Amino acid sequence: MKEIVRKIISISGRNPFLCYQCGLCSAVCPVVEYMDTPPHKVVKLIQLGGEELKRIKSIWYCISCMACVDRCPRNVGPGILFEAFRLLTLRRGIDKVDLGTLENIDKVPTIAVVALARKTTG
Amino acid sequence: MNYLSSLKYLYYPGCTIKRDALEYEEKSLLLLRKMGIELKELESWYCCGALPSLAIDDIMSYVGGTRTLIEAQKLIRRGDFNGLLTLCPMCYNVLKRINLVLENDPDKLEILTEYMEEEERYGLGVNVVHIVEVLAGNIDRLKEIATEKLTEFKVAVYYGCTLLRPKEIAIDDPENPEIIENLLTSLEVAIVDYPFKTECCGSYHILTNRNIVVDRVKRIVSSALRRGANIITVVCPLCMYNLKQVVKEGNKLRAMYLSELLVHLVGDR
Ligand code: SF4
Ligand code: SF4
Repeated sequence: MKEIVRKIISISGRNPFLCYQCGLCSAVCPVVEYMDTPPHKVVKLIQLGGEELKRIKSIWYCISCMACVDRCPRNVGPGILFEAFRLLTLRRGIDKVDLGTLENIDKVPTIAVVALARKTTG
Repeated sequence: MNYLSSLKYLYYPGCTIKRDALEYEEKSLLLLRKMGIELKELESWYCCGALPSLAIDDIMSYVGGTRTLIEAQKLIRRGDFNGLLTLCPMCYNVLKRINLVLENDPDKLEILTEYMEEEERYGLGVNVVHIVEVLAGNIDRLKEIATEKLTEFKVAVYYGCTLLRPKEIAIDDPENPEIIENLLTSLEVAIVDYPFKTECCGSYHILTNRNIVVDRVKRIVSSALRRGANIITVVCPLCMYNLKQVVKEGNKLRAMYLSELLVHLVGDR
């Protein structure tokens, strides 16, 4: 198994190989239309373990709303795999968002800032 | 109101209530006081972290929330409290999920206990509740004090995500919650049903991709409007902020915290 796939499994505790590509996760995802690759397809690419994985941007659009995790009939929980996928980058000390550059940071509710920081910085 | 049995909760405000949603707090505290429900704010508390980590090896992210739960545990031992009440659904969500993880995984609790050696051990029993549950559980008290009629209101209820997902911590059926509708119906407030009441508002994308939030909220709001709503009621400060990107002062539809709506029913003195 590819190293990247092994790590996603060990950080998430979920098994992407159980997915039978029903597409329900992509149907319920509130941000699917902004993603370059819809959730069910990301899971397929994880199964295949190919080079395309590194180019996927969808994981940064996922806001951990748990809609797909609750509905997945195979208990794959794409949103949880996505978290592990993000952590592969964040745990190297690479931030995805520079909080210092956000214009509206002191106007939005604090929970938005804390949540963004949790999901996009290391 | 001495005919009512005493109900006492500890209260965990969290950072957003104290910084960005003071009026939500004010209305909620007023409402609960009028219902004869006593609150005691925690003497010290920590940020819950807003969204819990979904990684199975990320125990650090539970530290803040667990310290808050331990603080509650100490007070519950001394006083007669029914649980720890939250107003912010994200606080509710995080504390409930920490409880769930630690109940199911004793090893994690062990590691946390070792790490926070200056704290007492967390004994798992703190009952975390959201204000909606307390309101719904005490409809009789509300009926007793509801003096006004809100005949002109047609209310669409917007739940958002964090009171309902993951389903293990949901305050009601996550696919078709009705807890707030039932509460309002029993107080003779007219309800409007629409299909987007549990759809995500776009959450923290407000910081980095505002267009996503605006698109999402337009979909939610236009559906509520088409069904004839003139009020959309919410319980989350972030949902409120995001809705207000579209719902402006003077529009046909007003966004209103549930607590404020209920204060209209019971009067504000
Ligand atoms: S919902 Fe589950 S089983 Fe269906 S495609 Fe998505 S991950 Fe696969
Ligand atoms: S958890 Fe992420 S991927 Fe799943 S539905 Fe929500 S936003 Fe989409």
